[in-house]
Amino acid sequence: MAIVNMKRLRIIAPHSASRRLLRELTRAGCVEIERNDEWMNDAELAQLLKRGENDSSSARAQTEAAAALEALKKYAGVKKGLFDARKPIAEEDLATGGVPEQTLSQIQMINAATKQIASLTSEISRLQGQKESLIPWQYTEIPVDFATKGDFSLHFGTVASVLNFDSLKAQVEEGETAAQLDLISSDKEQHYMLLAVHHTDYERVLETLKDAGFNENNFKNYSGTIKECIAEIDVQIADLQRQCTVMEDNIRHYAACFDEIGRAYDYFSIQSKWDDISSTLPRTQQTALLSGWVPEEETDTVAAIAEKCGCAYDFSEPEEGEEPPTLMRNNRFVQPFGQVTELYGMPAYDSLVDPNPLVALSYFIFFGMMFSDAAYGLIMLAACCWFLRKTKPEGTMKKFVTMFAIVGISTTLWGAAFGSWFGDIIPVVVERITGTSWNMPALIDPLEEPITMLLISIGIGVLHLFSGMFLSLIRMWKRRQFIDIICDILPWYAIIISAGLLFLGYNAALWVIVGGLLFVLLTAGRKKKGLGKITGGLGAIYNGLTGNLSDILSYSRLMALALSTGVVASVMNTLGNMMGNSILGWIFLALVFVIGQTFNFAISILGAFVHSCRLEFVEFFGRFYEGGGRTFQPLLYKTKYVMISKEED
Amino acid sequence: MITNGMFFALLGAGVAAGFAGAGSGMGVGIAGSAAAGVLSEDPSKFGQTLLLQALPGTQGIYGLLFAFLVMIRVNLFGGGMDLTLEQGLMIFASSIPIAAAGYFSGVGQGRASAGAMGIIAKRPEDLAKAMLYPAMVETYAVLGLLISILMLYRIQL
Repeated sequence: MAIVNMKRLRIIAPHSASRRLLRELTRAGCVEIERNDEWMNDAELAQLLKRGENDSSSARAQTEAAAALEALKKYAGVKKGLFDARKPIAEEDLATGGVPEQTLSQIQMINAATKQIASLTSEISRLQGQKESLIPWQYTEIPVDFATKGDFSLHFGTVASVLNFDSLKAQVEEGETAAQLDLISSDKEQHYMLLAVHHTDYERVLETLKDAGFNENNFKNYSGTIKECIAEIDVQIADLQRQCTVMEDNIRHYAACFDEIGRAYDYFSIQSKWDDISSTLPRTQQTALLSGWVPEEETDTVAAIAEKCGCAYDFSEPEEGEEPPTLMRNNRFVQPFGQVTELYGMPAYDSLVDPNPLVALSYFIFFGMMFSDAAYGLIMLAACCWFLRKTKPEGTMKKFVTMFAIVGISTTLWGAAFGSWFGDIIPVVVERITGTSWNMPALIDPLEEPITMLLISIGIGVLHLFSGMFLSLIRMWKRRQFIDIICDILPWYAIIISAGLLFLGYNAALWVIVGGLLFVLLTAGRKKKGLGKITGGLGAIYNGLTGNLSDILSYSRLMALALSTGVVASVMNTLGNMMGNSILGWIFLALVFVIGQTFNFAISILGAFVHSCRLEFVEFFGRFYEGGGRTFQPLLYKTKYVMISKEED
Repeated sequence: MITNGMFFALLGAGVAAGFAGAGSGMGVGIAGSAAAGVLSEDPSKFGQTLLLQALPGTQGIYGLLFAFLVMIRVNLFGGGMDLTLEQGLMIFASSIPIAAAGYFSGVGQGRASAGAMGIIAKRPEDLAKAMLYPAMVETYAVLGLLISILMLYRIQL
């Protein structure tokens, strides 16, 4: 139940054993490997040591496998969702099993086909672009390669559509000019025109048109009428699309290989990770040096592994200035709630107190109280348990889902205490059938007694804040800052408790408050000099009073969200109940029930999650949290498509 | 039996649900347009942006909640109480905190959510921190609701 002590680990491994060592450490999953610059930066050692060669072949193979898997998902419709369990595989197979030639060639085939589809697609879009540009011209029946007939020549061209075509036509054809300008079509940007002109007038007409911004389009590479050209392009596109379909069919044939390629992906990903680590290790001719961090209680495991692999090893305490990674280890009910803390950030390694047990307890209470519907809680619990059984997730996902399963229990309990099962659907239905009103048994009805709810919320809040102050007290104790405990923590305990007593009518408590505030006024500035001693005290009183008041009031959100879950659920039921006792009325009720409750479930779970987090992060962590730690990231098998089956030994 | 008092009580319920709902509507709208901007760059962030967009929606629910409490308090569903004008005005007064705090904090929370969308766009791993900024705003809607409820339940009917 604490932040785990870390040991600095150094292993010197002969090159022949280094691969095996990495594999064993990965299997044990308790060592974070660190890039060692310390020895490389030492001038003397640097002459002996060098970095390894970077072998990126596995990384390349991994990328290729990933591309093949993407192609299978896209073209062959292979769906691997959140709910698909991964295929089990033996550790031995994943670490050293290799990838069969057949799978490698399948990957290559798929990728070649994908590449071809890509080039076909880009060709298709090029042709489509061409077709687009021809469409405005399609209304002319004159072939684009119409040869000059005698003294006349034909020209296709465009001008900007802001110009008035009729006046341009008049300009071109004015007087005795042997020319004719016809409009083929217009769009937002351009007029598409055909000009027929006698060669004697060609220069002059062209001059006029150039002034208007005429842009000649000579349709190089085309022949026949525009319509024929478009039809030809359509044929080409259809042909290319056929080829595309053939390629997609080809890929589809490999759909059954998805799992095998997935295994290859995971195999290459672990190999490339090991290659990557090996290449960064400082090495001599015969040996490589591996350094990292290991939790204190795992040192025996790591020592056994090092000996098995024939390596020299050494554990030492973290030195001054080193920053060991933070790992918080708790029992299996508390552990999942560590995710909440990690969402905010890792506490510093030397922050001495592990917030997780208290976070777990309070999150359990808060979430349940805000979500507060027994039926919702049971649904959430069932869904999470089903998910855990079905997909056997690992890591973060597993912790989050487990956490939601646990808070599902709390939600059910609070919901039962408030008598809320999908709001008041049971009394509504009972009243419809029997005609007599009946209430769900409950310990407290939040709608009838919101003031009691408020007092409960504030009470829970004060306990939460007190526990946060207590963690701060423990840390000060461990750091032997006894004066700080007496001056900064204890008076506020006294002041807040006395304020509570005063509220309950014990007027004598006022004197404790006054005394406490005076004590703070006199002592809070003790570390400052001169005038700071007084201003420090005043500042501490101001901050303490406003801070505590606003923090405590902030817990009234527990009441607000608890009420809102119940009320919205009831509003939905009331709505559904409006159509009377006919068959139609029952169908309407069922419909409104399903839609309304789904909506309320979604909106309430979001509110409960966000506001539980907020109470932890702002009110609770504000009392003691020291952040800036870095998460312990041990070398692990992280697989995407396969799952390492449990070993028997 | 509907009296003048009843009119003001219902006016209170309406103002609470109406203004707090309007605030949420604007807030969710502001956040939504920012969310759409983020999504056009990276469609995989739909879930996270939707989460942030929903945050300013709570004020509307608080307004609804309070309106419902008023309706229960004056027994609207059971035929309505005989309220004097003074009682009705007092109930109306009690709706003001959640109506005003709900409206303005809804808009404010929408802005904070829209800003937090930037965090989702650039540093999606900091979702928890992105959620905190809008959640800070909501406190004031909760405080408004708190005062409204305290007033409502202390009025002698």
